[in-house]
Amino acid sequence: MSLIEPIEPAAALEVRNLVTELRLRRGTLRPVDGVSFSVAKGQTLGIVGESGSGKSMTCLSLLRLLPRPGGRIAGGEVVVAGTDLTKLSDRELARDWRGRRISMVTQDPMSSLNPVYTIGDQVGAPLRYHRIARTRSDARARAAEALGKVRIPSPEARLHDYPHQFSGGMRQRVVSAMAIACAPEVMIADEPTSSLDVTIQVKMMDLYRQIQEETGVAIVLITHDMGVAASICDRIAVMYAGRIVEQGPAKELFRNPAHPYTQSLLSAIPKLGEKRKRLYALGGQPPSLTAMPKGCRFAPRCALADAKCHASYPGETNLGAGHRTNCWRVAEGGAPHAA
Amino acid sequence: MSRIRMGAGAIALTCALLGSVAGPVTAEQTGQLTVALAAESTTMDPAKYSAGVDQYFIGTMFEMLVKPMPDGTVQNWLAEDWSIDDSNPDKPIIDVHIRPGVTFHNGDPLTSEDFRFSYERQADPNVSRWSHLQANVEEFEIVDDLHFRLHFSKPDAAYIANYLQLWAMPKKYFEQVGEEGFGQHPVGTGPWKFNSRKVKEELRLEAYDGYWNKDHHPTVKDLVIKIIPEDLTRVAALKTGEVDWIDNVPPAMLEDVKSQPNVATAAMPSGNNLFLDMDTIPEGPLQNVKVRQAIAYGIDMDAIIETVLFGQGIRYAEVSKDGTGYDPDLKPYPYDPAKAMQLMAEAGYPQGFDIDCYNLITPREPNMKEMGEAMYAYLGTIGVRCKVINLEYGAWINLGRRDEKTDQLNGGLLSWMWGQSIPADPTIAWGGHLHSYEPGKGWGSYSHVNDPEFDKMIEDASGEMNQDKRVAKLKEIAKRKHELVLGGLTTYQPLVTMAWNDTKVDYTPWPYPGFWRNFQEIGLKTQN
Amino acid sequence: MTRFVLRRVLQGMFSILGASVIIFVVTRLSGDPVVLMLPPEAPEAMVSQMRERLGLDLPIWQQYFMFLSDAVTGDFGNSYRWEMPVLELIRERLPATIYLASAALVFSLMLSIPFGVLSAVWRGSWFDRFAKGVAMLGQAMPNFWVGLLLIIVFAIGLEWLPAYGADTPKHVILPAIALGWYPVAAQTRIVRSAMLDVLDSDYIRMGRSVGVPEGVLIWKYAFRNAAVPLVTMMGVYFASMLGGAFVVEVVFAWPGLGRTVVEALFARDFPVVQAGVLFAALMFVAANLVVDLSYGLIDPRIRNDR
Repeated sequence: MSLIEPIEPAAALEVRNLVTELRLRRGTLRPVDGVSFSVAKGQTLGIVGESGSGKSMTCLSLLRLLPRPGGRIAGGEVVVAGTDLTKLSDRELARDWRGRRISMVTQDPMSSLNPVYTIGDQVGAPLRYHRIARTRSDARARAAEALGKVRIPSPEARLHDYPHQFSGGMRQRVVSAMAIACAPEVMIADEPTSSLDVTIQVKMMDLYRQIQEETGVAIVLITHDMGVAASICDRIAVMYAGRIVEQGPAKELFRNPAHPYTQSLLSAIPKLGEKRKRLYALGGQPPSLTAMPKGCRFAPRCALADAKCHASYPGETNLGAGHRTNCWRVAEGGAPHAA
Repeated sequence: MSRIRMGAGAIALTCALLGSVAGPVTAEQTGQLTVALAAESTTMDPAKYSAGVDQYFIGTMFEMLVKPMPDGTVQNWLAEDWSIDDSNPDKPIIDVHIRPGVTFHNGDPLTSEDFRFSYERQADPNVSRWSHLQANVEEFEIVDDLHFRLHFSKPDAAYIANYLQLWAMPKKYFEQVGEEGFGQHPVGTGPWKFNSRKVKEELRLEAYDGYWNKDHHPTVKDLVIKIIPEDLTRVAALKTGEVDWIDNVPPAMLEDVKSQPNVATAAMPSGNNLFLDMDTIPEGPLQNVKVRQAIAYGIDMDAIIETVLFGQGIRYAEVSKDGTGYDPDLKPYPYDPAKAMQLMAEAGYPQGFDIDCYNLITPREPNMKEMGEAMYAYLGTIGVRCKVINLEYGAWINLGRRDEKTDQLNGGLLSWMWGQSIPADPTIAWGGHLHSYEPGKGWGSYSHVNDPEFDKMIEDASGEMNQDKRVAKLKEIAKRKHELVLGGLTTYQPLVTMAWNDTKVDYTPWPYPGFWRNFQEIGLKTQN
Repeated sequence: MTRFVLRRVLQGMFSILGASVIIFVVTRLSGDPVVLMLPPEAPEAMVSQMRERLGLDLPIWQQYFMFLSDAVTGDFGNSYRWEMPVLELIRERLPATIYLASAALVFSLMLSIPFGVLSAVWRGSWFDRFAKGVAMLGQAMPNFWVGLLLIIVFAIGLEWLPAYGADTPKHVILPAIALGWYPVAAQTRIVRSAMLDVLDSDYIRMGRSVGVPEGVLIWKYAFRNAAVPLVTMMGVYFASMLGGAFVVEVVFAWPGLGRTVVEALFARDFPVVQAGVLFAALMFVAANLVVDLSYGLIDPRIRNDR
């Protein structure tokens, strides 16, 4: 296993041309079709997009938690600490990487915890199976420590409790505790606050920022909420129909969105003081995975699309300072005006 | 299996070293045999005997004054000799001398007191279900320890036919342990002594070394009787060597068992007599003797026995071969369908008629259901169109039994049975299904006949205690019954086959009252 | 918790009472035991005398109350056929039947749990099809037939196991298989379907995402959740094992209660039938109670609701 040189030297996670396939009876689909990004140590990358854009599939692919049977990684590399995870066996992945150096927090805290086991057992699980805790009492102590890190009060007592004895927000903290128990280098959070109410959302984001400051963990945050993205992300990648259409430093992206899709996403956010009769909504639907257009995938809905857009997929245009996008209009010159 | 053979060989060798196996019982018996029966006794107390099955256990430990022999005769057993004193013909007396030197398993000697004690128990309706059989004894007179006399209030031939009725039960022992104790640990005079019992599982017996009969006795020390009701399992147990002897080999498996190496079999007629009863009480075709005879000619019993029963049945005409009143000139009806059809036409049923035909499905004897179905099928070919109605045992008994209200058979046919015992004596059976129904006197409780002539003949025969005269009277009844086909058409006696490991077991079939499964002479074979 | 137990026990007692009434009436509808007990030529006087002695000439409701008041003190009367106290008959034989039913249940779980779990994990594979086949085979064949077949193959043919009786631990193997094979199909389906649900769940994926080994995920974290629907049915399965035991006991000459009750049925031995059915009802109620209480052991969400 040779070390692969990262393109950006301080990258904790580097994804190159990741392709994920789902083999179903009606055909083989590609929900993730050539995705590349990287996250530096101590940084947060936000991946935004509509539902169905492939964001969740992307993060499942990073840990190779694809639906079985039928899901598999068809191409590309996922590099953490110089190792391409896509080349590892399931056993190696489980033993040395999942939960140990890269972990995940998913959307629904209500269902992410096993109802019949104590949270002490579940938070202790990664500690035990990665041999960080050698004895049961050690595992208990470390699990309590992890619970403390996610600011759960009286953690030792709560080790004996069951998930149904916790509120939604607390459960999400427990899940987060499981994810950070072994102090991983990369943490992936798939819409971690979507099912929680706003005040708790803010607290969770605070918590993640604090953990990041303490441990230097790189976070990939999937969200459809631009506001959440804006609050803690250092970089943002916009996904559409299985591909990243634009990515760059968060501030830059918000100020100068280049891709028409990004622009429409940002226009969709109502602004304080703005007078509008109707909320802006982008017309049309994302293309079906079985009938992907040959050219730019956003073209069917894009006001600026022309024949070239429909015919061929736009190449990458570098806009400087890590800001990139795939759009013919941008390539031909000048940032398009906001709609 | 080889382990058991080795063990048996070692034991047999030991026996041979200890002395001749068929010799006097004084030499210590050794060894153990395991046998399996299909059904089990409910009681081991002779006074509480309720059904033939109870003989299986009682007959090993208890004995009576006389006993049926393997050759079919009845010999004196515990009675040294006995006679009928009919100086007053209306009130006969049975005079009995007890064999001296007989002891019970606990060592107590057998005396007249013990027989009186038995009589009292057997005559007590709160103890015995057969107390009515003692009804005619009005006094039990003890002359001395080995001599007693039974005074009858009127002639009772059935008493003699039933092996003089009385079992030898130990009075002193019974009074010591009480009825329950006696029932749980019985003591008798028989060749086998009670060892232990697990209800519904097994009975363990030990050969009684003080047994009085030096000529006929078992030649093995321990006998374990296991109960295995399921046919195939019982045969399997014999094949695997888990048991050494089994009874009731099902007819369908007979070929297979016989073809096993080292297996010997013996087929004996069961004491059960099967017949096709006909309800002649209400108006209907069965009241016509020609119809009944047509039915007799219309069934090919030989063919049915051969195919359905694999040949395991013997035809009989009214009385079986070893029985009192057996008439060699009386032959079962031959199969003659043409004659049957002719008789039907003469009787006025050229088109035949429909009739209810009741069939027992519980296999009290092997393949009873199929036998009934076959017979009724034959009847269909001569115009007796059977509507076959299947009944399980309880319902069947209830249907056949007469009560004051109705005769539920409604002029139909009913496959029935009534054991005549071994050796056969048809008196009681005919009293039950040939004599007309007289509830107060106990006649005809399962009878569907109303013939005053038969009533007279039967009552006369049951009072006849002179054996020769009885035989003549019974032959008369049999002849008339056969001609008129009343009280049922006699069909067959099932054969019961026992099978055993011939290299290990030395066995002679012995009957006891009504059934063959007596272990009077059974033992381990010695090596020559 | 005690209130819950009390409530369930009371419910159970009502069920048993109901069963006692039904069996009492039905047996008496089935025919006259006296006629079966006495020899055919017994005079009418004897018959009515015996009927009186057994109390069968009284009106049925009176008979029932006598039965009930005796039963409460533990007196179930004497068997008509055996002339020994029914309770003794039952006490001697019930343990053997319970033993057989339990062994059969254990056997069925020994097949259905691995079959169900692995069929779900390897869904669609040859194992999935194989397990289904074996399970369906058990469901298609009547248990006494399976018993006879097992005797032919393993006792006679291979001489590995004994053909009848209950003397050694080896003796329970064939009867347990004959009895326990039938419910395997249904149990496997329950486990498989529950496992499929659970394996797809978020919390299993969560466990996988933190590196829990696959084996532990399946057998520890997933199975315990999938066990709940199976445990629900355990009471029912145990009851059906008790019922099926009756037939299997005859085949293997197993010294249990089933054979006794079946024979008693044919002989119209009312006291034995009544007591036998009552005890079976008791077993069933007890099994269900145990099952209900054990939910709390498996699923902690239910514990605190009591």
